[in-house]
Amino acid sequence: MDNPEQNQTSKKGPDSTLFHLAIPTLLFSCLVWWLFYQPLPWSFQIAWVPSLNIGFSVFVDGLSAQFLLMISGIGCLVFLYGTGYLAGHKKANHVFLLLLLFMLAMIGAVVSDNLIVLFVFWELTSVLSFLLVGFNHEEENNRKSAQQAMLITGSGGLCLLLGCILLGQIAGTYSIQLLIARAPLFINDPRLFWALGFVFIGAFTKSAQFPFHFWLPNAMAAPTPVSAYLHSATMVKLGIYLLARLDPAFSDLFFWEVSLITVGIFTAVIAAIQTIYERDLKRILAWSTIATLGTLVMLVGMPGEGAALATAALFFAHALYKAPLFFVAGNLDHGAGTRQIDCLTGMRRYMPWTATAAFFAAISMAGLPLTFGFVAKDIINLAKSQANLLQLVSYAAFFVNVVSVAVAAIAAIHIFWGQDTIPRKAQPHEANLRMLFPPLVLAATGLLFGLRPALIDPLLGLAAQSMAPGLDPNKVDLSYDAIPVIEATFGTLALGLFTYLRWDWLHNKFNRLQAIQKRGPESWYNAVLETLPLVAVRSTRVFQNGMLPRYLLTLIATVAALLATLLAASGLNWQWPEMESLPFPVLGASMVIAAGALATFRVSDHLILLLVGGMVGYGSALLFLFTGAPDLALTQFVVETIFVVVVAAVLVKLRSFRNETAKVPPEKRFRPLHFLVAASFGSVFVILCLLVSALPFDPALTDFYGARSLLDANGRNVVNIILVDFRALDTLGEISVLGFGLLAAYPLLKQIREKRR
Amino acid sequence: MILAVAPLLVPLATALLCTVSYGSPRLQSRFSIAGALALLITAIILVIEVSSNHVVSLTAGNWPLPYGIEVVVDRLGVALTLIAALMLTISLLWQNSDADPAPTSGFFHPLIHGLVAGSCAAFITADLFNLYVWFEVALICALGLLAQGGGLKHFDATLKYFVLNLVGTLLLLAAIALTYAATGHLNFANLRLAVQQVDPAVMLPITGLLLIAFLVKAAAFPFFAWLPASYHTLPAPSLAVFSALLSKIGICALVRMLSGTFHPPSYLLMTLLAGIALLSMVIGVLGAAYHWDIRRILAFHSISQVGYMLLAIALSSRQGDAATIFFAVHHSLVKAGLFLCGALIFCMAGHYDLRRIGGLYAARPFLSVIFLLFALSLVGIPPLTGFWGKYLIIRECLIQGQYLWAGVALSVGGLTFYSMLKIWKEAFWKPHPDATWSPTKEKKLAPAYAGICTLLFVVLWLGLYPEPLLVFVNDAAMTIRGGIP
Repeated sequence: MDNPEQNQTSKKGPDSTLFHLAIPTLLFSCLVWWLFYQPLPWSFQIAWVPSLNIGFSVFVDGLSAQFLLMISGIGCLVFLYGTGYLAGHKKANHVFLLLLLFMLAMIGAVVSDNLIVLFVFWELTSVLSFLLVGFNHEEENNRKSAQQAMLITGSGGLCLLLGCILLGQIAGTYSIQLLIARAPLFINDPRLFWALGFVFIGAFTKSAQFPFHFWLPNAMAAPTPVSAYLHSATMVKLGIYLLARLDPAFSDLFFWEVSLITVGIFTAVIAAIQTIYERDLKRILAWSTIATLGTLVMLVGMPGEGAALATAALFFAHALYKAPLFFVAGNLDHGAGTRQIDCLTGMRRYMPWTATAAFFAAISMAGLPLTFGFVAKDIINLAKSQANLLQLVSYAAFFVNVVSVAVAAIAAIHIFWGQDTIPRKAQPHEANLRMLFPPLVLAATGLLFGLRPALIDPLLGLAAQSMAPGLDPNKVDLSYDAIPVIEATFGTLALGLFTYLRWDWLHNKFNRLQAIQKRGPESWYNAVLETLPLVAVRSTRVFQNGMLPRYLLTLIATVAALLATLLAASGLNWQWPEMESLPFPVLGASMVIAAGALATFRVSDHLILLLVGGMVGYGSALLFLFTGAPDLALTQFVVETIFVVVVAAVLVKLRSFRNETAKVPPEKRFRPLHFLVAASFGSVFVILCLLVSALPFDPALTDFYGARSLLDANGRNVVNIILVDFRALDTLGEISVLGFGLLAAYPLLKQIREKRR
Repeated sequence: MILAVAPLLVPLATALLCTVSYGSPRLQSRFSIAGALALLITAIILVIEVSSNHVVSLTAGNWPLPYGIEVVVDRLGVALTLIAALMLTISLLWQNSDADPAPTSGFFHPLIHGLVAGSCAAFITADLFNLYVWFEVALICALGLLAQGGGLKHFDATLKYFVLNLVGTLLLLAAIALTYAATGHLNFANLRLAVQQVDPAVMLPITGLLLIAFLVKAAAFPFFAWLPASYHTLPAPSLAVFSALLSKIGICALVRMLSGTFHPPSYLLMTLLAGIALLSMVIGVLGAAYHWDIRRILAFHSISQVGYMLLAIALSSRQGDAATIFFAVHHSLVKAGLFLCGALIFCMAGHYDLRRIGGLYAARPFLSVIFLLFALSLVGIPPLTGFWGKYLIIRECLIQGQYLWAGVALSVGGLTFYSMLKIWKEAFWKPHPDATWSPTKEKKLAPAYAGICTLLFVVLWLGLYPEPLLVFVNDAAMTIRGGIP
């Protein structure tokens, strides 16, 4: 507490607690009150971007309501917990601001009926998650985790945008409800495969499905309230929310069902295996969250009304048991200073209330009777038995359940019971009230709904109806016959406890599999991240090499190549101009120009080069003279002469400055590539000029100028009249060029002057 | 109406006044800011005028068309003029702060007004040769501003800028000469009719040459080398104006040529343009990933963003043009904002190189938020302007069935995000490598913050409520194609 800022914040602690809690609590209570009176679904529209058919069309049905309650309810508790967890932290206010914005973005995402608006809020949650994960950004690992989370979910977001636009095009609307209604019309559209594929990628990245799952455990770098809120209870479920939303439209698609079930169960199994690797409680919880998310994806993919109800129930159950477990992890971190499960045993003595919360949350997670987790498990089993899944999927799901029982046992038994034999620097202490209340409330709610499932029947029924429109929410009955379910779950429990007892042994066994993990998706991500700078170096060194001659070569060569392509595109049946015998003087002038141009690459001395180059100018002047433009010829003579004289003067001056000792290696006279480029550039231009001169010229402009210059502009010299009257605006521009040229050159001249002094 | 030429006369007159008052810096800067405000007011009046009256036009010398030079202020022209005026005002305001101002040599003011005059005139002229003249004005003023630095690296940048742009200008001159020889016209409206009569076998390469000349100006692949070679040597106020205007001159001309005058463009030409656009996007963003200097990173992003605009032009539809114009407006504002953020970062942390700075999030949270919003807008995170720009382009790609184009556009968006995250991570999140560092204080930064917040306000407003601009650019695209909205 050596930081003055820190002390200041902690002093006004109680006040700011109320302040931080005000908005979430208000939101939650308003919502509950509103949902009580408002028959669902409820919708209204606000125009936003009518020219793109994007409007805030709000649509709240059972599924939205369920999410709204989870977002605002758990949000309140997270804010309360945060005031305790972050007390005295100098940047606590930033976290609360970001969390509040996140909450609003989540609410926006789950109530909007327009796919694009949903995407807008979706991306906002990703960005806010990035900022929150990187909250402790002084450490490089945290920065990397934040970047990883952002790049994975951000790239997924891009795919989602693509998918949404495609869906919108196929369905002719961005409204999800209209899309569901119109689904039978376009269900056979071949583009649907791609559209849904991209939506899947978006949803899978957000909800941490294989192969994008690895960002979630790394995102545990965030402060614990953030992890509990974003990375367990709400944001990571947004992907599944979207899939559940679209489920009524596409659940009959074979592609839909197979992909979701495969990816879901595969993710769940992978995550369950990974859980056993971990020793950090928070990361264990993260992996088990992924396993649940996988199960949820699988449930969304499963057809039937039972699966819909099971999805809704698991959404709820998971939020009610996983969030308190995260809070417990945070309390341990605060009270005992570690999250490593090896260093945590017998904590019950120091942290009795945390132990209570952990116990009730864990029995719900394990699916013991009289808890809401048990209810959810019951419905899931029912759904599975109705859906006639592959035997393999059932076994996999069984395995996932076993591991989750073991995780629950770790959280409730391993950490809090037994003897505390580990030497510590400081005595662990119980967390304060603000950090105990949230987990206890959530765990108690889980118990309440477990004892009286009828309380939650209507809400879950409505939510399930959003996923399976055929379901009648009034007939939903979550009450259960305890005996058969206990029989069914007995195996899971027993095996789970066995896993828990042999956790260390399994951990060592699985450690041998780490070679596989090293080649897993995270290593692909790292490989991409490492390759990218290398590719960038390669390409930039080629295209931005800093050498002007190469830039010029590229430019000229590209021009020649593009023009040649365009010339060839017409099939080479060109209309050449009629060949007439050239008058002798014109021929001579052309020879002078050609001689000058050819001579330039035989000469290396700069002064001679200048004179030879002057030949081109004089040749052009001669050409003008003999083709009927004497005034132009005169101007050209003057310009060319002045140019040659001035530049020659400069060159002579420079020679006197030249350092004789510095020998520049002589340039190669003949460079084939340069020759080729120059020759093709020249030829292309000659061909183009010849082709144009074969065209008939429209003399409307010249005729007008000739006829009207004396009559209307009172001048006999047509060229002058063109310059100062017909096209005076051009002349204004050219005069400006000269003026500004002078201003531009002045600093250069001044520099030379200063150098000479 | 005389108002039509005001966007070029006001800055030209100001430049003249600034040159005359060379000896008195106070008077000069007063003239300068007054001129900028006058241009801003002119542009706003023109926006109102154009929104109700479709176009404001004038033929110099009152000669009958097509014999005189016509200036037509349409929606595209006026939008870019307004941006030019806004950027000019902000950068003159910025000049009063201590965040990387331009050296006070007495030439900065006339040259920057000259640059704006050339650009604005290029946005609104309706005559091909006149367009060339204003290109030259912009080129020479840009050169002058580059050479202002006076150091060796400035001369190196000036030389590269000069040579490559000169070649581009010469190509343009050649293309104009050939066009005139083939059609006998220079006025856009007359050219539009005249090119239909010309053998397409000849017209196609001429159009191609014209296109290449404008691509050099727009800094497209592989003609972009002048842009990253020069931008990083510029002080903040010049840089903001450069980044908002220079590549837009080329883009504006391309839209006018391909969608207006030389319409309908050939399929081959558009395919080539799309190829150039995709390569610009990819190579540009890779260059950004390679660099560590904030200004170089942003300069390379400009190339990649030019690629987006070219892609939208290559879609050759009204929606594509609308997307181009929207994107041009977005990019001018956001990129200028980012360059200005870069200058503030430089001012606080003492360096433009990301490896040598850090810790700004803790030290300057307000600046962090400003940067973050601009960066997210550039990346295309909704609901900021960049999102709408990219959304328009990608939607049009998908409607036309160009799935590859859409895919590349999206992937480049991802890479843009990567390099913006790099700046964020290194400059803001990472602790400063020098542990004793603390941000410099006692500097006059209020004008700088005022300018950048104005820009941010405009960007946020256009992002949260894009409808007016979307309608405007749709009408602009219709006007270019000869329709009346």
